[in-house]
Amino acid sequence: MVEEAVVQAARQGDGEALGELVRRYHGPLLGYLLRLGADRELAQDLAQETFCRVCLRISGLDNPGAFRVWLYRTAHRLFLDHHRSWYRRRVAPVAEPPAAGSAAGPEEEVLRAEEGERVRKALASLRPALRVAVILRHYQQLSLEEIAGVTGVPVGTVKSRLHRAQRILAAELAPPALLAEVGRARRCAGA
Amino acid sequence: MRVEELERRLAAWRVPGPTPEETEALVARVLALPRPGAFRRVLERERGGAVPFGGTLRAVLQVTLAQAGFFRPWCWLASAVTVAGGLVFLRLSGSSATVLLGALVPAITALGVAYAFRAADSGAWEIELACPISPTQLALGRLVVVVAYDIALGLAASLVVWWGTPPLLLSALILSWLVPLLLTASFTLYLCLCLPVGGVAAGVLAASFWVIQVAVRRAGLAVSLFVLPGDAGRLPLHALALAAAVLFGLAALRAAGMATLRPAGDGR
Repeated sequence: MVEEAVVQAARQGDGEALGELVRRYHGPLLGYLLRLGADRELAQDLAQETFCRVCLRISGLDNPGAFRVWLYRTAHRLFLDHHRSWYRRRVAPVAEPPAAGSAAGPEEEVLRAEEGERVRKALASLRPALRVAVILRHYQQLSLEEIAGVTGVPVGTVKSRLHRAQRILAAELAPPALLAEVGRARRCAGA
Repeated sequence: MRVEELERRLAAWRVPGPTPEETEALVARVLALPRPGAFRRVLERERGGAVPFGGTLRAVLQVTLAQAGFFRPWCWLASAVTVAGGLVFLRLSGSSATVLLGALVPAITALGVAYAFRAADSGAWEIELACPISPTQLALGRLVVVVAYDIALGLAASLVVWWGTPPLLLSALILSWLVPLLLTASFTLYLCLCLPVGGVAAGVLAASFWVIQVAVRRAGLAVSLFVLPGDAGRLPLHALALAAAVLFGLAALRAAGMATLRPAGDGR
């Protein structure tokens, strides 16, 4: 069923449609919150709170096409509120056990886990605003307009944040050999 | 590094998703919530057709007024007796009626609001969630019940005081306690719903805050929100207090509407 039709049905109080929306978005939303820096328990709590709020107020949603933005925006604000209200601290993604279910061999799994850890650390080194943009774009597959809707900034700002984040990540994730080469090239240029 | 390459690298960081059991538990939790527009649908079913806005408003009023039943009779009686006692004390002692009114009515309201929102400690949160109108509407309704009663008491007392003090402007007299009443009511509501201080502490804090304001004014200090009737130079303080009342009230009602998931036993 097309998402807008499901949202429309949910707006009219259809319980099946509400359940369908929860099933569709529970996984992505949990992933978003985990990548933002919530631990698993907090991510579960915030995802639940998000769905409850959204379902209680869905009848007031004027544009069914904006459901996804609304959902992520609600989760995003809840996450920020949680950290603002309890302790102002720099939130960085925490290491979670990797997702199970891969058909790869043990050696490949270890390599993949190491690579995942590198990516996590690289993302943690970004400013929160840049990290949010990257997560929404690359993990949640939101469009630039949708990211702007979630974060409440103009599309141009989203673009520049993504550009800056991609530059930083490219440097952080560059292979060691390439880094050494870059270093050598810089030294040569300096000499 | 190209964007495609970056995306491939980013994909290496995977996070565990929810189990099917967790998702189904969440679905059950969400479906147990009141459906959007449930109140209107119940009304339409009962009345056999569309309900005009006025009808819904009337029904909401009926539901919120039903909350008056939560208050024990001594609560109403104690407020009325305190105000009446204050008036008798005035007559006997010859103290300043305007100061007593300005101190008493807002303080009583603070205690009344704290008492009305004691439900947080009594495990009534689940009942509120089960109601077909939202927790915000319930909170607003309960607030209106208490504040309206205290305003009625204040008006009656003002008339009595005004009757014996002819040169006093009735509107100025009413304003001198009405604005503080709204401020202490919304401040108490804010303390009850937003800060984990408990109903009694919230009431005592807000009432003490206001009594201190009046005492400070009586001592002749300018740093007080209390404005005596006819003190036109300090009228902007009324505007300030009113703005603070609106802000506290909005923050508290927002908190009331948001606390959908507070677990039992953790209520406020």
